[in-house]
Amino acid sequence: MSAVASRRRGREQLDSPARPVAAGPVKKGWRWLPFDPWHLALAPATLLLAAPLLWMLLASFMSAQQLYKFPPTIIPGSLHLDGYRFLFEDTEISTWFLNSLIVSSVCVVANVLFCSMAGYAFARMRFRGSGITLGIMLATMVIPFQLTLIPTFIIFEHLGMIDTLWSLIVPSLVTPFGVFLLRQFFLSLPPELEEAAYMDGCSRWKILWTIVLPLARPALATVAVVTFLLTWNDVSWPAIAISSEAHNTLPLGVASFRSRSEQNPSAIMAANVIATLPVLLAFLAAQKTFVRSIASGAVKG
Amino acid sequence: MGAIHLNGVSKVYEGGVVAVDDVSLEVRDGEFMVLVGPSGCGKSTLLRMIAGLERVSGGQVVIGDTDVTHVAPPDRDIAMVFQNYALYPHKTVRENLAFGLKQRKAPKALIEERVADAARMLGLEEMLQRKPSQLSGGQRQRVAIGRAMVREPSAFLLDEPLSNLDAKLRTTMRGELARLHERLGITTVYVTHDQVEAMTLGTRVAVLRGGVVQQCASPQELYRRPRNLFVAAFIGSPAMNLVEARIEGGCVRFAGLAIPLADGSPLRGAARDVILGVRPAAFTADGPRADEALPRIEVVPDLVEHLGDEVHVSFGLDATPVQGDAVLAAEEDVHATRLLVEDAPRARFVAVLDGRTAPVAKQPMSLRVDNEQLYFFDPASGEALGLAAEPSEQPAAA
Ligand SMILES: Nc1ncnc2c1ncn2[C@@H]1O[C@H](COP(=O)(O)OP(=O)(O)OP(=O)(O)O)[C@@H](O)[C@H]1O
Ligand SMILES: [Mg+2]
Repeated sequence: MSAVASRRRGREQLDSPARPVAAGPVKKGWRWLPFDPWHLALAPATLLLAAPLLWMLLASFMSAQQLYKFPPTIIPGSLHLDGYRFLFEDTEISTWFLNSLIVSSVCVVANVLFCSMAGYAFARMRFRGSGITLGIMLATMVIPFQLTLIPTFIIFEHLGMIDTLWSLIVPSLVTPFGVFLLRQFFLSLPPELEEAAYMDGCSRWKILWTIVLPLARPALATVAVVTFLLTWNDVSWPAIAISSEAHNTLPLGVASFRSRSEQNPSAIMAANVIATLPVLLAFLAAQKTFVRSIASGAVKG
Repeated sequence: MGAIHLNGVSKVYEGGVVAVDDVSLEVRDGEFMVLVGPSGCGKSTLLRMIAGLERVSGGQVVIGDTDVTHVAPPDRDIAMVFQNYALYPHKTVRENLAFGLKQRKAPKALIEERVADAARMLGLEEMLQRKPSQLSGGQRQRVAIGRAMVREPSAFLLDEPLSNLDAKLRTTMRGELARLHERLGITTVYVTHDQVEAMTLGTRVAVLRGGVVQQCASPQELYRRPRNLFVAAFIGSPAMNLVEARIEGGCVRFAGLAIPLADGSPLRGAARDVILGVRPAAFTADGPRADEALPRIEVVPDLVEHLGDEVHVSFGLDATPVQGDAVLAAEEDVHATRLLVEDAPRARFVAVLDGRTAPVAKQPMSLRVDNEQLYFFDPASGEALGLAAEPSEQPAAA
C-alpha cells in the first residue's frame, strides 16, 4: 500500500479516536481538529454559495420596513407572512405553479421515455442512415435558440398551439442532449448482458425494460433533472409563446409581477422561494439516486 | 438430440475480414468439444454463430435434427456462458438463475425446484439473496454456469469462462466443470485459448487457426499425432522443439548430430529436408536408469528450472530454428517470452527431465532421445510426414 493511500486512510479516520499511527507526518499539526482540514476551505465556499439562497429565504419572511432598514438586519426580530399572503391573495401564483408543474413533469416523463428509446436505438441497433441521423440530431444542439425562435413560433401558430401549455410542452418532449447522453451510457454497458437476456428469451423491448433501463438509473436521473431544470427555469420561450395570464408559468408570472410590485420586496422574495424550492427538491432527490447507484457498483460485470 | 453439426460455416465481417472460413465440425450428443487456438483465430465468432448471436455468412448450423441457421437464439434451446459472466447486476443471484425460465413462462414450482437444484450443485445456497457485486470471481462464475444449467438446454456454449479467474481457482473450476459435464451429460462447446484447459477438458479438441480447423481429434491424438506444424507447435507445454533437419541414410541430421530413425519409421529410406519436432518429454537424462538402446546427445544446458517433479533444461543447438508463420502463430501467447531473448539464429531446445536428476547450468551433460517420439514435417507445407495411414478423426475411446 502506498504512502498516499495510507495517508488518505488516515485522513478519513481523523475524527475517530483510534487513529493508526501511520497517518502521514504532514497531517500531524492538524490532528487536534475534530474534522478534516479540507473543511476549513470548503465550508466558507459553501457558505458563499448558500448565502443568496439563505438571504432569499430570510427576506421572504421580513416586512418591507425590516428590509429597508440600515444597517440591514441579518436575523429578523419577528417573522412576517405578508409577502406570502400577498402572493396567494392578490396574484394567480397557484395557477402559475400548477402550469409549471404540468409542463415540467410531462417533459421529464417524455424525455426519460423517448430519449431512452432513441438513445438505445442509436447505441445498439443498426439501421440505414443511423450515423447520419445521429449527426444531424447532434448538430441541432449548436444552433442557438434565438435562431429557431421565429420558425418555431410560426409553426406553433399554424398548429394553433400558441398561448396554450402545449406550445411549452411539445418542443421539449425529446432533447438531443438526452438522447446523446443516454446513447453514450448504453454504449458503456457490456453488450453481453443484453445478449444473455436475448438468449434467455427476452425481446428487444423487454431487454430495454428489464435489463438496460434499471441499470441506466443514474443516467436517467441526470436526464430527468436536467430536463426539469431547463423547463422549469425557462423564461424566454414562454414569454413569447404565452400571452394570457392564466397560462403563465411560474418564472414568467413572477417576472411579470415583479415589474409591477416594486413596493413589495418580501413578496418578490417569497415568489422566488416558491420557484426555487421544487428545483432544490428535484436536485436532492436525484442526488440520492446518483450516490446509490455509485455505491452499488451496478455496472460491474 | 443435442448434437451440433456445422456444415461449411463461414463468417465474413463487414470490411472483408474472414473470421471463420468454411468450417465443418460435428459435435456429438453429450460430447465436450473444445475450440482452441491463438487470439483472433475465430473461436468466439464460431461459438456465437452456433448461439445465433452472429449471422452466418455461408453454410449451415444444425442442432439436433433441425437446421437452425436462420433461427433466433432463444429458439435454439442452447445456453451460453460469457467470458465476463454477464450477470444481471441489479438482480439477486436467485433472480439471475430464475430469469431464463421466467421469460419462458415456466411454472413457479418448476423454477423454484430447478434454482434450488442448481444452487445446491454449485454451492450457491448461501448467497441466493446477494447481488453479483457481492460475490467473488469464482462465485460469479458459478452463478453464470448455474444460469445456463437451470434451463436444461440441449447444449452449453462457453466462451473462455475461466479466463478472468486466477490460476489456482482456474484449476479448481476446471475440475468442477469436468465433473459437472460428466454428471449432466449435456453437449458442450467450450472456447479457450489455453491449450492446457483444452487438453484436460475436451472429449475432442478442434484446433483453429485463421478461421480454419487445423485438426479435430481427441487430446491424446492431437498430442501424439499432430497433423501439421501448427498443431504440433500449439499443443503441448513446454512446446515441441522444432528444428530444420535432413533425413539421409536412415538418420535425421541436424546441428552436427545424427539420430537414427526408429525401426518402423516410413521415412527410413527417404533423403530429404524436413522439420524435425521433438517433444521435451522425449528426452531423458543419461545415467544408470537410461535406456541404452536410445541415441545419445551431448549438450550444455544454459538454463535449468527445477519445478519439483520435473526439471526443465534448455540448451542451444547450432541449427536453424524454425520460424515459419505456423510456428510463430502458435507461439504467440505461450512462448513469446522465449523469443525475446533469442539472439543468434540458434535453435533452442527444452528438455523435461525427471525431477531426481540434478543437471547444472553450463555443465555438459548427455541426454537420451526417444527416437520413437520424433515428428517430421514438410518444410514447405508444414504437413506431417510419415504419419501411419490411420484414420485420425476416430471417436474418443470413451
Ligand atoms: N464485429 C467485428 N467486425 C469485424 N471484424 C471482427 C468483428 N469481430 C471479430 N472480428 C475479427 O474476426 C476475427 C476473429 O475474432 P474472434 O473474436 O472470433 O477471435 P477469438 O478467436 O475469439 O480471439 P480471442 O481469443 O482473442 O477472443 C478477428 O480477426 C477479429 O478481428
Ligand atoms: Mg474470443
